[in-house]
Amino acid sequence: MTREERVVLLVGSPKGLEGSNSARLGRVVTDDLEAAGWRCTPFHLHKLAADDETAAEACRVLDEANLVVLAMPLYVDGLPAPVIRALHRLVSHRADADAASVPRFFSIINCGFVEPWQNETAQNMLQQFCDRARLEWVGGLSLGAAGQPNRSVRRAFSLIVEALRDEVLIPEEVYKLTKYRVMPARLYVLGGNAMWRRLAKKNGVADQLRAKPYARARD
Amino acid sequence: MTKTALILDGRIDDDAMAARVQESAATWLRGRAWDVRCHVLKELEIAPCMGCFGCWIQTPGECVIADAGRDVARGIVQSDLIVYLTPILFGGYSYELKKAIDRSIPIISPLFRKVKGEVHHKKRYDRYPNLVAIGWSPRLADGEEDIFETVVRRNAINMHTKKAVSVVFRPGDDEEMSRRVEWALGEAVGK
Repeated sequence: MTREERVVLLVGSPKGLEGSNSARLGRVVTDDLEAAGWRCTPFHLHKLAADDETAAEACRVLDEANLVVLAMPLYVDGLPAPVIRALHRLVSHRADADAASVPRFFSIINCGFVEPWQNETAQNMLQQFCDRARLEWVGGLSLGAAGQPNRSVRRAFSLIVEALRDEVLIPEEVYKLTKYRVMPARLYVLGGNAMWRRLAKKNGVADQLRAKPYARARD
Repeated sequence: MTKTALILDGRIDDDAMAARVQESAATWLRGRAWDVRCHVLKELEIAPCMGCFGCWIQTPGECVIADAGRDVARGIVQSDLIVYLTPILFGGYSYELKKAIDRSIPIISPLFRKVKGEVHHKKRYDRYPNLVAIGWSPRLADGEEDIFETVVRRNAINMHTKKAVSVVFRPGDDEEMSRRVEWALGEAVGK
C-alpha cells in the first residue's frame, strides 16, 4: 500500500487560517488536493514564528510532506516580518533534517496593487528560502488586486492543482494567464480611492484621511 | 539647521558586525555635524503589523498599536536620512528590521496614484528622508545581492524616497566595510 500524499499549507497573513485572503487562495489549491485524497495540514506562520511548540510540529510535518504551499500577502515589497522569522526557523531545522526529504514548494502571493508583477521580488526571496531549506521550488503564482479572481486566474488555479497533483511541471500557460492586471490601472485607482474614502467615512474620519500627525514644525 | 539621521539596526542576535557598521555610519555622519539617533530594533517592543489598515481609515497617519512601532514611524518622517542595517535573509531584510518597516505604512496615504505606469500609494507628507540600506551575509547566495538592491529600489518608490542607496558586503574586512558604508552615505547625502 502506498503512503497517503501530504501537503502542508503555510499561511503568512496576520489574519490567520480562517479570515484571510491568503488562506482562501491557498485553500483553492489544498481543498482540491484533499478532494483527490491528499492529507492537508495547515499552519499559521505568525504562530510558527512566535511559538516553539507550533514550530516543532510544523518542522515534523514538513519533513514528511510531499508538497508545501505557502500563501501570503505582499508587505512593503517583501515578506511580512513574521513570515521571515518563521522561514528562518524552518531553515535552521531543515539543515539537520533527513537528506532524503525534499518536499516540493509552491507559493501564492497577493498584493494590494493591481499589478501582479509587484510580487516578483518576494517570489525571489521565497526561492532563496527553498535553496536554504532544501525544498524544491516548483513555481509561484503572483496575484494583484488582493487576489481578486477572474476567469484567467480561475483557469490558472485549475492548471496548478493538476500539475501539483500529478507531479509535473507547472505549465507556462499559468504564467501567461496571470501576468496581466485584472483591470486597467486607472480603474483600480478610481475604485480603490473610492473604497478608502468610504471606509474612512464609515469610521467618521473622512476629513482626516490626509492627516499629518508626525509633521515637523520646520516642514 | 542640523540634519537628522535615524539608524534602524536590524541585528537578530549579538551581531558584532551590526555594532561595527553602526559605529562606522554614526561616526561618519557625526563628523559632518549630523544629529544621529539609533534604534536597535530587537530591543524595542514592536508588534507585527496586523494588516487591519487602521492606520489609514481609523486613526489616519498613526498605527492603532500603541508601542515603539509608532516612535519609529514618527522618527522616519522627522529625519533627513534613514539608515537600514541588516543581516541579509533570503535576499531581504531581517525580521527585526522588517517588523519596523511593516509598521511604517501610516506615513504614506492609502490613496492610490500611478507612478511610471504602476499603481502606488500617494504621499502623506511633503517630504521623506533619503535611504541608505546596508546589508551583509557571511554566505551570500547567487541572486541575493540583486534581490537586496531591488527591494531597496522598490521600497524607495513606495515610500517616496528621492535617493536610495544600497550596499552589500561579506563580514570579515572591516576596512572594506567602512569604505563601502562611507561611500553609500556620501552618495545619499553628499560628501
